[in-house]
Amino acid sequence: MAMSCGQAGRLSLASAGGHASEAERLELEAHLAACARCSAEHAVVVSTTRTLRASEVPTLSPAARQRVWRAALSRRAHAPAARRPLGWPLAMGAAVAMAAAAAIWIGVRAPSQYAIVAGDVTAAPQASTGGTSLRSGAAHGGVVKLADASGTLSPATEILWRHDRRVVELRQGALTIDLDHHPGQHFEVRTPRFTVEVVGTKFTVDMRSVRTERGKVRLLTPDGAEIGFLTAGLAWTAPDDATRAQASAPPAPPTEEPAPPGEPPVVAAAPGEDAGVRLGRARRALARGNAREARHLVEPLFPLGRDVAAEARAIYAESFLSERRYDDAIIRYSQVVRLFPGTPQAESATFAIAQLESEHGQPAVARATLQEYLNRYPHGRFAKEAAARLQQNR
Amino acid sequence: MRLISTKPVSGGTIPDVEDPRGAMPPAVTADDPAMVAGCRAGEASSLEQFFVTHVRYVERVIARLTGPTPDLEDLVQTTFIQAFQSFGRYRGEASLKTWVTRIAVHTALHQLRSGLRRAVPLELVADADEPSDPTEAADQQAESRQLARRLHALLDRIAPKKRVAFLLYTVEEYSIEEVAALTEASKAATKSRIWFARRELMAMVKGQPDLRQLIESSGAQSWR
Repeated sequence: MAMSCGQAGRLSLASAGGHASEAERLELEAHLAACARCSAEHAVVVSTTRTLRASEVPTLSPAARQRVWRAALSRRAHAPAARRPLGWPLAMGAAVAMAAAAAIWIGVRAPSQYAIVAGDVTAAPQASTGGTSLRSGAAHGGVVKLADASGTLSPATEILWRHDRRVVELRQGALTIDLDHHPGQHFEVRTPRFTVEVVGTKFTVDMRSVRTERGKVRLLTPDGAEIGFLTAGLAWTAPDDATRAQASAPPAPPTEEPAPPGEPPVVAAAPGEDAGVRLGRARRALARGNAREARHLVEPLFPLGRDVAAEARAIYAESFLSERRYDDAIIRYSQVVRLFPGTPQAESATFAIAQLESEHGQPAVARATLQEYLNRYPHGRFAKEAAARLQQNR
Repeated sequence: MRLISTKPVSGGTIPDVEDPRGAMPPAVTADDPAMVAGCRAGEASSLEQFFVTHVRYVERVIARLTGPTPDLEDLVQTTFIQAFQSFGRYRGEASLKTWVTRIAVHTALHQLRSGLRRAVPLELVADADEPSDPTEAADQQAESRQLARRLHALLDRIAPKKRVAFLLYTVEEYSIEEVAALTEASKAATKSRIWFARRELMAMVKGQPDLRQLIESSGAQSWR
């Protein structure tokens, strides 16, 4: 039976893919000999397939493969360890030990007021709040002890310390808090615009912004909504009042169907908007806690110039961090490191990766990343912190 | 020959992988049950063996399906992260190679669908292990590269599912059944995708007489 052109087309494809039997190939040959159109198409199919098959396939360099291996290993799933019941003497011993530890812990953490350690600082109790007002002089700052935290007040700074709640209200000026992390222990600094919740860190707050020098902090709006996490080396500035008012204004009645869950929000580009403005909008979106909007804003900037693209990629990575999607954040930070070597974003990203690895149970991988950071940036912005962490992790 | 060193896992390095061709898929052999069990338990040495065995093949499949991309490392990384995190769900019904290829195909499809594809930077060069054919004249090599670039540009205009099915079937030489399994589609849908991809590709080639001439001249000698 004669083969149709449709059948020949399918057989041509099968032949090109190496799936046709000898009999089928002969049958196809017979059809092609009599049909110029199919013959020409077959030539194109075969040549196309052969060209694609023969085309050079890029592969990863050994260094890239090492990175992939490390990243994958660090995020492997561990099989749950089999639980072995404790014998009762051991359980009782453990309970006694825990009770002793708790007693020591409570002793260490007994509420303390404050202490003026150095500098020009005056204190005044505030009966209305139950706290203590601490104020530094206009010319000189000072250092105070606030429970187990050390606070450095810039000149002309006023804080209200409420030791019962372990909360500092920053009323004016700037304050640097240095505090080791104690799980379960709360400490926060409030400003009228935002709240900084301590996760074990050193950070500086003024009335509009916060910069983390070590560890990380959690940022909240004054009404307690999470803005995101700020890791070492990163700074965040509160949106200006106009933007804030806009952001906090009651939402206008919807004019369109809301985007379905999982779809990126539609973010209209302002006419003539330049990359810098768009980056700023993305930062503000991130500050409002809208990670998806931030991502949507920066994605079109990826193909642009190095400076813009590096910042866009950094914001992109940060957006995953703010959503606590740590694996995704590490992948995106790795992109920044790889695609934009030598930029400040790459330096921050390298350190951020190390922190994330360290804080998510990957000390060995974190050590390697910290060492990599120190090799690349021996005098970098986080060199001291990286060296200290490396020392701790050994 | 594939050489796998046996140095212990240090948590930060992988053994040297030396495979001059690199592009050849791993031989289809029964997976070592001890390695599979180790991977399920998250043991580094078993995962290392799995990684070293399959990484080159995963690279190649992804590169073939997506075309030249500077995101290759990320895509390979995503594939292995997903694999390492999913071993608990691996039931052993397919070989590890098929299983990880399915994840790689899914990763490539996701990338193609996302539209987040970027231009290939200059530093992204072909595998140094794979030298150009010395018998091929320089101008022929340049012509082949140009042709491949143009074909990849055409493939970019074909819907990801169709493109992936077409490439798996014609270039990677998977059977219809295998393509269907890798893309988690029915056989009928797979056949249809491959056929429509071919039809769209032909229509685009027809619309570019110079490209058609280039293709025909490149394959005129030995297409049958």
